[in-house]
Amino acid sequence: MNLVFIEDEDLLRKSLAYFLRSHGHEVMEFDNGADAIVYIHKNHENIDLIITDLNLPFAGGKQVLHSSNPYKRIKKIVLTSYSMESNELEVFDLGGDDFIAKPFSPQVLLKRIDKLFSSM
Amino acid sequence: MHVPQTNPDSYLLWLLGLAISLILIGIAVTIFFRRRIRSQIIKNGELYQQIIEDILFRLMFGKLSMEESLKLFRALKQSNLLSKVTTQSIIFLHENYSGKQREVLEDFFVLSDLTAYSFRKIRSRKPEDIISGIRYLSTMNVREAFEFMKLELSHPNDDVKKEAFIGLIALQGMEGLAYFNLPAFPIDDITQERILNQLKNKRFTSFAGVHLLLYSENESLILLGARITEQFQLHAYYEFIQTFNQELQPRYSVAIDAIRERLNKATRS
Repeated sequence: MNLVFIEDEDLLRKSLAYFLRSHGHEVMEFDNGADAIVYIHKNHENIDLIITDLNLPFAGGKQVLHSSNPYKRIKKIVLTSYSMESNELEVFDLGGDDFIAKPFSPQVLLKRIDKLFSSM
Repeated sequence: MHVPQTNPDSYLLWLLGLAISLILIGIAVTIFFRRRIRSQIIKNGELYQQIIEDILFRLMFGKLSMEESLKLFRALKQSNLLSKVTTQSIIFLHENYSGKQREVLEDFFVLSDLTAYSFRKIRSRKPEDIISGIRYLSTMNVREAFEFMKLELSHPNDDVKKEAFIGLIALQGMEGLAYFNLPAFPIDDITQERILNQLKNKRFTSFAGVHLLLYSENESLILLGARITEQFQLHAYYEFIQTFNQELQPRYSVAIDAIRERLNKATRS
């Protein structure tokens, strides 16, 4: 599966990308929303899933979701520091398919990815 | 070298010029060596960071056993810089991951003896070091640090005292409140917010002891108790919160309003 992973915290981005790669996924990493949006527009046909943080420099996670909404086949999971009802609802309204609050279990994330694609 | 001897003024000037030149050379040499040392530290830090990331990622995600990871870590030249880089990386990962990854990081922290580095910090005279030590040990759930943190509640520095209070709660949750004298100093909003975050992050399930906050004579602790009651939906205290201490109620009106809204919703449904 081809993933775009956007997270500005280096250690979290590198570690989760390592985990996802070790489970056979191709991961394209970005530390800001703006670069990711450009990449998504150029490569949308080859992207299966976007995992994005909400608070990002230059362009936030909400902008990433908004920009990728025209590409219906791309699934989107939002990763954020706090789980609040209002936040979760907003993410779903913006086109997110799932929501994971930090701290999280990478194994659970993997299960959610599997479930997201098995229901297609 | 020509040294003027006839004119005392020019001789003095020459001496002054020589002294200034020597001072300037001294400053330049010092700056040069300091920069070299600093860039060496940065280089070493970056190198350690890469090595530590490699060890921790492989350990966390099951590609390396605990024994192998410890062997690799112990083979590195042990230094304060290595301890600092490793501790900070572990703390960051611990704050972001839960479950098995968190447990593995805690085990590595103890078995690699990084606790010694944090205990050294807690025993330091510098408030900023004590604060870091408290943060490291409470985040990593090192229970042995509880007694040390209790002592820091009476530290002359306010920031140390607040950090100690957060650390004690991070270690034992609300149940730990029974084992130390609750602070008489005000617990500001930021500290309260950090305590709420610790309770959420550590996923405490028992809140026995929250009544100690609610019955406290410290107004800021009552407010903290009300916020915890509201956030974690501790129904047993709802009635108490709504009726207790009318004078203080305006200060925790946000919590009271949220509680009332929840109660109304429950009644409607």
